[in-house]
Amino acid sequence: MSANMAKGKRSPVMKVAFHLWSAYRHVLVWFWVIFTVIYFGINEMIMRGIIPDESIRNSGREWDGATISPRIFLLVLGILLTIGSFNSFVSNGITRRSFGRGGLLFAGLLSISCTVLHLLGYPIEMLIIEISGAERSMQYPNLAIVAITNLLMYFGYFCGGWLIGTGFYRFHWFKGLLVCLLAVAFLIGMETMTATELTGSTAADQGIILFVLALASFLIVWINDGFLRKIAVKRKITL
Amino acid sequence: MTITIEVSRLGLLYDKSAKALDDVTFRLEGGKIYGLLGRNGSGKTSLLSILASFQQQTSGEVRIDGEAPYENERIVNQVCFIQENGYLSESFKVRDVIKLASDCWPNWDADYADRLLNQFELPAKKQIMALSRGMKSALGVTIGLASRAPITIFDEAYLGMDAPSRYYFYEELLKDYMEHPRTIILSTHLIEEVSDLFEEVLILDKGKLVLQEEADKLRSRGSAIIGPADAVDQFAEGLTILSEQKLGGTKSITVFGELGAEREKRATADGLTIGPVSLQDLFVHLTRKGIGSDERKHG
Repeated sequence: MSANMAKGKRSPVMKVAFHLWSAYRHVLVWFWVIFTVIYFGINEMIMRGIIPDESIRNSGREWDGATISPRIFLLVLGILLTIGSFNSFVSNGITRRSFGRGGLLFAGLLSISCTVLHLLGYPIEMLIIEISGAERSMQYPNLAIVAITNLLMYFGYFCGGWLIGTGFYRFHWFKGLLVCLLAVAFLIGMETMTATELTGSTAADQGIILFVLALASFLIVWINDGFLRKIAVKRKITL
Repeated sequence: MTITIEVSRLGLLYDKSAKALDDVTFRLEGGKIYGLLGRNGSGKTSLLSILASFQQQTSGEVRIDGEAPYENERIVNQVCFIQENGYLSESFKVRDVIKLASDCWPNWDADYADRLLNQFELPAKKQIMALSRGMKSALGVTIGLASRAPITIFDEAYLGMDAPSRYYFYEELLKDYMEHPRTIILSTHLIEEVSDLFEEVLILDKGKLVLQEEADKLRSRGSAIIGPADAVDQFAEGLTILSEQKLGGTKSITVFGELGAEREKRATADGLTIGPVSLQDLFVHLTRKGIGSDERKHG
């Protein structure tokens, strides 16, 4: 089968996901490389006392907290999705529904990638500690729970950003701001849920937390999809 | 493959009250080149963007190949709508834009696209934001032509191009249309340049369709009369004069309305020369303030 035939047979949803992934995969890799280097670099300086910070020095689990920057990174990518790509796809004969579903698939791919890359950070951290010969008590959490929680949080942040971008694209600034507040409210709710110490809570608690996170993500996606369906293609955003 | 477009009582409101389109009804048979003319703010882009499913109408109905186009997977990839500086992602490179288009348009001709890119000297590795206005226009028309979409719409898409590039585009458009018949809609202010391409003309004014007619028939509704000033003045009595020019004892006038066989015979007897009128002159007349709709439709 020729490359052209394969292209032709790809569904519109897959076309959207494929082109978004092609456009952003390098950005994703570069972000994680730079972020990891800076993160471990700063932590090493803290551990060696070059930067004085007792709280981190005593915690022993630095990498656990390394999800905030990736979340913000995904939030920004989400904000840019409708603003930067909606016109291109719809003007090339893709329906809004396919754009929405393709974007969702892309969000899933990004979230899985970030989750896997974050998990890879644990052995890297261990290796750095071994090489540096530092003495630290490493208390790793349940990695399965961490992975699922991070996956849902990454997904939620990306879709939250997507909702913000869609809101400002579709509506005038005031309504866009209201949509932005709604998205932020969802994200604050999700953050509050994960503030519970997962490793110490019961399985039932963990299940409830994950369910609420999934539900919040679903609601964000559902609202965003509703906005996307009626959106008019604009040359630029009117604020 | 040719597709019919049917528009019935189409309306579009802006800001809940201002009418961009008002009760527009027409039918476009497939496999023709249409010229959509209108003054600034007449509703041309609004109409075309509804045909291309870029936005939804407020009222009325659009049928393309018998189906409503909005969010219709079967129809949207049959309608390629190209505008100047349209909807290209500024951060994309030329090759990314072409790659996306090649993946999305079912009839995409990659070799033809490459040939056009070479002809317009478009650098594949350059980002859209770094392209000149003319280059962006050239990229747009490349996508429009190479898409081979059964309905291809160019809305002032070639305004930014210089004259040689525009004429190359007109030649290429006609050549490709002859080889691959499809419906092409050209919306433009450069009427003189493209009027020879039009098979049928639609004129919009203030959101209303004021005329839909075959281009040749429309041209026949106007005449240029040249001859001695006195004879021209006598001949013009009772006719609608669009413009007049005088040089010495010779006068040239442009009139609207069919002359009829008797008048034509009289003109020859009076030593007057009758010539054709440009579509642009007729357009200017038909969209000038105060022209009644009756005259527009019946001459």
